Amino acid sequence: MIPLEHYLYLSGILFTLGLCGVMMRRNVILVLMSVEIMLNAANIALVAFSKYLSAGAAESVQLDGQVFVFFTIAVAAAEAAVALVIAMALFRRLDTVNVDDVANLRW
Amino acid sequence: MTPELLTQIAALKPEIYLTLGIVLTVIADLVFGVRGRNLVAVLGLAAVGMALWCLADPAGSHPERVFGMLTFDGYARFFRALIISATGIVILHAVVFRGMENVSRNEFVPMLLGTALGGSLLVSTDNLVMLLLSLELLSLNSYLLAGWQRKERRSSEAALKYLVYGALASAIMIFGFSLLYGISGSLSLPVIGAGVSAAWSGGVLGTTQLVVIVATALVLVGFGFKIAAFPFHFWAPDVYEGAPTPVTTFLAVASKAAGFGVLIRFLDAVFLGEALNAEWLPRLGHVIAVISAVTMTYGNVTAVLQRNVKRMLAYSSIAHAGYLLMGVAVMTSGLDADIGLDATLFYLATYYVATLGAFGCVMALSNRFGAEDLDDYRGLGWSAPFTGAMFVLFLVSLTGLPPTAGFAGKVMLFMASLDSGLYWLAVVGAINAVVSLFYYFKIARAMYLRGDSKFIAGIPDRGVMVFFARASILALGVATVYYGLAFDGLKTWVESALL
Repeated sequence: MIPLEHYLYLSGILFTLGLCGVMMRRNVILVLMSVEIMLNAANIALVAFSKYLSAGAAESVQLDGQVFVFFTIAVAAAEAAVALVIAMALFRRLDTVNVDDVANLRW
Repeated sequence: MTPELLTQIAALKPEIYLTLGIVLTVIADLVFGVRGRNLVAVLGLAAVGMALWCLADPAGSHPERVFGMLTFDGYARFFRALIISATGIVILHAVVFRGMENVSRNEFVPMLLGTALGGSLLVSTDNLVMLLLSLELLSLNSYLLAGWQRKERRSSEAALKYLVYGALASAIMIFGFSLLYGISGSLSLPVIGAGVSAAWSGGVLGTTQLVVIVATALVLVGFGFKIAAFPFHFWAPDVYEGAPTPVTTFLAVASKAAGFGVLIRFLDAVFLGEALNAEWLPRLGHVIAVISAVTMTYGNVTAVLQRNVKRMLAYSSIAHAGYLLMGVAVMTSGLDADIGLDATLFYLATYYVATLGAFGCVMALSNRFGAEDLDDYRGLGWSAPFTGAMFVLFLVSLTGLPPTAGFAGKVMLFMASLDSGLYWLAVVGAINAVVSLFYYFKIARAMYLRGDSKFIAGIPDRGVMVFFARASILALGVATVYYGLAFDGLKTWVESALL
């Protein structure tokens, strides 16, 4: 069996990559894809924890984490739908999906 | 159905009415289209009214645990009452708001009710799954509402900024949830609290403790975003300025209240439920105290520089998040949690009244004169005597001067932080109150002391809904003064909401 740490390393790496993507990408669609990567990092951690918490305890299988993942996926899908609607509305006005061009409001 | 299940469902009545309101308003919109505009608003208001009626029913006041995920105690009742009643007033404002005349207002009402539903579930839950779902219900609806004037560039831009920051914050928060689950093996907040305190029992700073610190920080990013606390406030000024004014009102009042509701419940269940290592809890309290001081200072100082009134009030609402965090810091400082909680909830109630009223006045002035900049406000106090006077009253309450409710709220907060030994925080708060006087007074001065208005008469508002919107502003004004003079009533109500 692959040790828990390996899953957590993978999850941590994905989370960091996603965070870097959000910081560095200027295209709204790519920013949102990076956010999805961060969500999937959390999903991997949740499933890994769920599996390892229930290992060796046959009578109390820990499914909470896996159930949570399903809800996270559903939420991510809803978020993507809302995000695309808003990006569309803005694209029609500005002809751009670059976050640097979306800077009409400034202090 | 078992009787137990029936009583559980009875506790859900306000949420059921809100859901019913969503369904009925969607149907009314489908059947009547644009002609059913007032009908949709009335249905929405009726749903809100019924939900509030159920909340006010004393029979439903005893704590009820529903489906093992929601706890309908006095605390939840307090926040649900704030969120749902704010929604009602926002519906009234949205119906009369001129800026939304050329976009459909019919879908606006069900979406707003959905946001209220999310908020009221959010403050009642102690399970991470429910917390995530209700938070996203609140957030996703808010993103769309912020971009409601889709022909206006500012509004779409506000929606996009809100969405990008919001999605990032919730992704970070969910990663924090996964770590909390790994520590405790549960998604229920009290069990997570037990797991966290077990992790600290060694008293040394090892890997597990580091994971707890990281997880808590990640989760607090998500909540900090919702309440617009420094350094997660970037979205707030842009979104508040760009969003339609009724939506801004909702974000400043209901969304912030929901954020505080869940933040306090989270801290209470995870860190105060089980006796955490007495050495560590005050450190969390200190971190929150520092965030509180920075948030209020940043909000107030930056507000002074603003020319747009909505943006100024946005920074002011960041500053008020700082004041509210002051109470949360007292709560987690490890001495007496109730003093801090009491002060926070009381301040939230006074902030609720004054902010709803202030944004209502902003909307009334922008309806009539199209004014949003400070320069446009010149002389408006004389052109619109009622709105002008009310606006000044709400600004006085936001500053925290007697005889308004804001004064009582600030006094309670400062007393609480003095009682718990956070002297420096009380001093910072007092200095901030002086700074805030400066920019609130700038609005009042523009309205009364800077010569005549460049608008002759503006476009007068007429109609039944306008009357009710004005009546709601008057009621909020009366409440501001009444609770400033006789705050015992409000205090009793707040004390019934202690966790």
